[in-house]
Amino acid sequence: MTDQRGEISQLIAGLVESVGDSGDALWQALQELELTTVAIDEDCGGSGGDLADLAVIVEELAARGPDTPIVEYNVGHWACSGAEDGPITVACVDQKDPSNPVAVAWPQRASHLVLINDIDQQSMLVPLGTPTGSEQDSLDEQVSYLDLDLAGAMVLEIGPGTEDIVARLAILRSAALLGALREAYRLTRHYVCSREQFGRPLIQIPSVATAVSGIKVEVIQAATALERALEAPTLARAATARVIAAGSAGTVARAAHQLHGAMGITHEYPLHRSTRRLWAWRDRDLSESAWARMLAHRADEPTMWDSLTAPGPIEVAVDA
Amino acid sequence: MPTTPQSPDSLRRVVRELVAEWRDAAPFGECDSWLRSPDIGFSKALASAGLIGMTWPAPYGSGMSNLARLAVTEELLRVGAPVAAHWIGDRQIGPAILRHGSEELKREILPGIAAAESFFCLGMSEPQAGSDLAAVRTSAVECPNGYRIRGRKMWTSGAHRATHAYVLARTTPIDEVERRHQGLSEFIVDMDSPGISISPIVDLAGEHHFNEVVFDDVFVPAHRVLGTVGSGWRQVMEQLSFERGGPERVLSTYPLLATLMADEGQGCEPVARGKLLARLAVLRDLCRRIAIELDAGRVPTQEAVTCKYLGNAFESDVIEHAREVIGSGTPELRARYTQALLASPAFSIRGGSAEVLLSIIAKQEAEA
Repeated sequence: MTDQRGEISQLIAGLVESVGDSGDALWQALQELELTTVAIDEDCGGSGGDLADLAVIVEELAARGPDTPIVEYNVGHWACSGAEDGPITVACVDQKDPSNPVAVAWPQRASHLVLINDIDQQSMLVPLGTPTGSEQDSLDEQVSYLDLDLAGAMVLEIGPGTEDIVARLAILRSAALLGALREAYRLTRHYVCSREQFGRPLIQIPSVATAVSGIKVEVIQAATALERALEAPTLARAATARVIAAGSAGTVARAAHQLHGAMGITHEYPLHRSTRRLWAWRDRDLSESAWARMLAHRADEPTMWDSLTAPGPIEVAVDA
Repeated sequence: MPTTPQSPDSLRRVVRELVAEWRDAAPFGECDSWLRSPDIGFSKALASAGLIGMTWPAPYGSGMSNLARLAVTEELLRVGAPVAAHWIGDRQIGPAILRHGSEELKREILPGIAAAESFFCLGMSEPQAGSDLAAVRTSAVECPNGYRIRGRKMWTSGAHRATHAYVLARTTPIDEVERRHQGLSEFIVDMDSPGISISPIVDLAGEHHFNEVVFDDVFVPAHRVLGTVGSGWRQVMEQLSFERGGPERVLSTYPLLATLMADEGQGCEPVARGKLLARLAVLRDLCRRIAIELDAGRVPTQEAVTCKYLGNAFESDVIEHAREVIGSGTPELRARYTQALLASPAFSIRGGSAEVLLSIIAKQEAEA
């Protein structure tokens, strides 16, 4: 981690500590510090900085903070490139005709929705007004199913293309998932090193140590996938990171709970905050399967191999 | 012989040309070729192109980066090229000699590896020392001008075609050391030394790669000690940590995946395919990062362990993926599937079993 990323991560950790459990207070602080529009050009109402900075913010918030709409807000504003100042959220559909209702995160915090149709490769700005039908998702608490009125919708023709919007969404969701993965790992490692059974810490039981390491390798894999996507944020790399993070989410949630025993099942102990996020976020925006399908469709062996082995930015710099 | 450094792209072109030329003469493309497919002629052709020992400094190699070597090794593994003869010497023993060997040993051994004239096998495991390598009982007793080695090595891949063996042996008896990791030393032994006998251990595929090698009072000259007498444990652990994160821990079944992808319309389930390709992309990137770390003089232990652990799982999952469509596949696909499946139990055992790998991470994490 570079110094700058370390500083950002400390800044967010400090903010999270100062606001406690209040998502509203945290969001207000993030807005005031202009941290919600990082990696958007200043000309378009953003606060500058790059995608890697933003990913650190998202990851750190996802690890320890209360829920905030940072991913949706940032992607929405970037997609509109200044065409709309109000609070925006984002939703993705991967059907030809998006049949209502559409799963939308944070509708109560947004005046507009950027609706991305991955099949048509088209994005629309939809005024949310007072949408009808608002059944809340039973697992993902921030998501509601809305019957959208597309009458006042405007196709987004300026700004980044739909492929880039989808890529940013995948990268930031991967960063959020990585934050939750790291937190689940942190809690688990602490628990098995301190909790004693059979007269010794749990970590001294070989099968426990193996299972803890099994979580660690998932975290390393997800972190590598995210770094790879940040080096060159193409849709293929973004979707790859997203698929990996989603896969790790299920594996890690299961292992973390198993290692915590009954303690992890209680409402009081914080593990469920991370594991519930992992279960919800792995399929937010688009399901893990939808992202995986995107990758399968791009593949024939020689093309896949060439993209697999293409020099990264660092190597190009060395060669040049 | 060693050539001047080249860019990864031009190295890939060299390998692809060589592969095309050799594949026309004798078809290859088996899975697990780095262990199962020796061809001394092909190894010599690679050596002539300067592609063995390429990361070693002059006069032994051309001092290219580990990143450049990755371009070569992954292109070879991609097509299942017959690289088993020189693989261990190039990957592991050459670098170990460069790190710890005397100038005399370097001059004696390294040119032969780089020219594909010397081929190595690994005398590590024993009947009573598999995952628990510190339990080796093979002894090396000092004698005039050298040592005499006695003991049995097991699972020694390619011993029957190797010219040299790397041998881990006890120079201080176990009851004379405080900790059993002490008193171990490493040796380079000529396979034609009197007193060595090799018996094949046929594997479950009916193939002969493994051997049992008995050392019956085998004389090894003093200068064939690798590194410091008594430091064998530290040196061998280092050797294993350097070799663990290579692309052969990910790509052993890649020829099967490539066949599958060439056979479009086989009805592969796209979600499963996409997930597999995502894992491959990240594992390959881990190999790249590990190579960059090695080039910077660091040993990325956790990344290398992760690469091998998850890479081995990926290699086996490729086989499961192929299994989904095997019924409607071509005879070539079916044959490759069977060959990969029968090779697969070894993936997560050799080079440190999955359990041992995870325990390495657990130890570091508990101490952190």
